[in-house]
Amino acid sequence: MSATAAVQLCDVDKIFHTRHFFTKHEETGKRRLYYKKTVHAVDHISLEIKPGEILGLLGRNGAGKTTTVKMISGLVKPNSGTVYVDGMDVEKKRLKVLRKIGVVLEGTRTCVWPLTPLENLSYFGNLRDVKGPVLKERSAELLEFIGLKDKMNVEVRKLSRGQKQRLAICIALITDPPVLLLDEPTTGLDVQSSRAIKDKLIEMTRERGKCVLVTTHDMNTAQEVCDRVAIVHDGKLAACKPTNELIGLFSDQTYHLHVDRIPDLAGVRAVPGVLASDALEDEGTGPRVSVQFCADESERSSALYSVMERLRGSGVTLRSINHAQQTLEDVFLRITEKTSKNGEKV
Amino acid sequence: MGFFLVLKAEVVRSMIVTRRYWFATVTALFVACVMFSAFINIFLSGIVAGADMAGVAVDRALGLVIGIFAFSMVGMFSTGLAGMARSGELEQVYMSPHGLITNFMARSTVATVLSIITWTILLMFVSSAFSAETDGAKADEQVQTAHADAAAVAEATPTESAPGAAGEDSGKKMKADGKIHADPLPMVVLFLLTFFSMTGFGFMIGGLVLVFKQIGQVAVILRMIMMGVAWKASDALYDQHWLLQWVAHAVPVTDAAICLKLVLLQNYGTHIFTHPSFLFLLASVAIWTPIGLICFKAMENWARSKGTLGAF
Ligand SMILES: Nc1ncnc2c1ncn2[C@@H]1O[C@H](COP(=O)(O)OP(=O)(O)OP(=O)(O)O)[C@@H](O)[C@H]1O
Ligand SMILES: [Mg+2]
Repeated sequence: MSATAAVQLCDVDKIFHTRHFFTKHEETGKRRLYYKKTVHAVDHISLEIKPGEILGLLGRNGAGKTTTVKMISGLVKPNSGTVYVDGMDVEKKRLKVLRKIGVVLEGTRTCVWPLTPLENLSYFGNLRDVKGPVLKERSAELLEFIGLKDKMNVEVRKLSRGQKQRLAICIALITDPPVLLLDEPTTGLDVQSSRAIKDKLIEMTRERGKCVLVTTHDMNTAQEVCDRVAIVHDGKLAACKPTNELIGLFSDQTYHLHVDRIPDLAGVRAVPGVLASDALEDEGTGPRVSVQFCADESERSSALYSVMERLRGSGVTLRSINHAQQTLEDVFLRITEKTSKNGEKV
Repeated sequence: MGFFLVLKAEVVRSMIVTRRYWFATVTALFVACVMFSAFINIFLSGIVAGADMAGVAVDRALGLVIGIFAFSMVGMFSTGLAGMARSGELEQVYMSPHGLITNFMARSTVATVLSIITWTILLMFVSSAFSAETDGAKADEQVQTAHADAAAVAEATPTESAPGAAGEDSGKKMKADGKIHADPLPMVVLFLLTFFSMTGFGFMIGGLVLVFKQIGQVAVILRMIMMGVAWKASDALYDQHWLLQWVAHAVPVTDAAICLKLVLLQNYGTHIFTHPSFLFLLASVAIWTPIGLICFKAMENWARSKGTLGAF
């Protein structure tokens, strides 16, 4: 493994088998005496996260994000492949690895409900060998930053969902671990707290060289905080690139043509090399046609010429032409769509 | 040492919880007291006159205590464990860097100590309530003095008894002749052996539950059997058919209950160490502890590959 990566997944694969007795079949809905189901949750993924880096893991529901996080934290054993944390094989040195990582899993049962946030922090601190003044100081600091200070003596079961989530994040941070794995950390949080958490993540990675893996469905969060983004689809790694590069991935493939009137779109779509096109009547800038071209450069070039020709032929005035500004969301949608169609990797 | 760190965390946690929900704790204790006294009363009234009423009652009461202890201990490893997995707590515990076995050892130690304390309080209460009640018309003279004695002793003894033996001590205070045969050495030895055979067995069930959650439900039957066995167990077992004897010895609570009853109620003292049931108890520890730990470890690994530490 490379010496610089704090977390490394080498060709990790996970297949779940479940057996069902006397239940309705999930697809056909028919009652069966027995059937077996196989889910390829993670399909030969290789990834690495360097110290001082935030990696975003995106994917649709059931794509295998949580399974990936659980495999790094040793809760799920891969069928094949190896996970290294700080150079240690998770399978061989699981207990040592656990001292290096802080994990926030989905759900709210990650803290002890009859205890207060402060007691939770000392309970989990004690379990993880954080004691005495260090524990006190760190708990106070964490509760302050996450905004739970006024609730620190209220039993957890009486807290709201978002407050429980915030406590879960504090618990993960109590050992000050070099590697943080956050599974959907900002779901259920209000704007202020998710802002605070994003800032804290950035501060921790930039200033203290921590390494963070965060899964999320919130594209804005991902675009804001992640240095790199990995997209998984049906357990496969569909893309893994620095965020800017990923956003720029399709930018030279989509153009906005500002025109005086909407031309015949079917004709534009018929041009070889054009993947999609649609029109928009924008109040400020007037009518606009967006055209998506294929990735191949020479084919794209000739397609671009043909579209121009076609517009000129139908007497449309071309006012301006520019690259489309893409967001992570656009890119995510395109990549997942593309992967489900033909299984290719970007 | 990881075990003591976890133990400390668990002790603090259960102390806080007990204190915070003191009302619930006290109510539960009260209900248990009432039920327990009622139970023994009913039992006594069913006994043919002339029999050693108090002796049998104490024997059964002690059996019940041991049985309930076994019931709740195995419960922690079956339905308790399954519930923790379903709620996600188990995954959180699993990620503490001391390992699941250390964690559950600490948890069962705390649970045991807590139940000893509870039972001491409960039995003290019941035995004093009893002596008051038997003062009434129906009690024969023997029983009456016995319980008066028992009540007196119950107040006097807590200082001398070893912590491990406290629960059983007070069970014995109800003994009809009023004599306490709580030799500290056999008591502590028996107690530790009982604890280990029970946790060993618990770990085996726990391991199965890690992978097959439904076993938690099935284990209820097993727990009931253990309770019944502890309740009935006596050295009359040795007069039974050999097959029945072996089945009974395989249940980890049988010999523990027999030994405890012999020491506490029949003043066996250190002679217990040569009694066949003691040897069976030793064997049961020697068998169940490694089987339990190996099974748990193996099933833990299997649970990890099937992903059943969580809600699945
Ligand atoms: N222990 C398990 N046993 C059987 N199947 C499982 C198990 N854990 C996960 N799966 C299946 O694996 C697939 C991936 O699940 P996973 O929880 O990793 O998805 P996810 O990307 O986290 O989804 P979400 O965005 O909804 O959280 C799902 O189809 C799920 O049903
Ligand atoms: Mg998930």
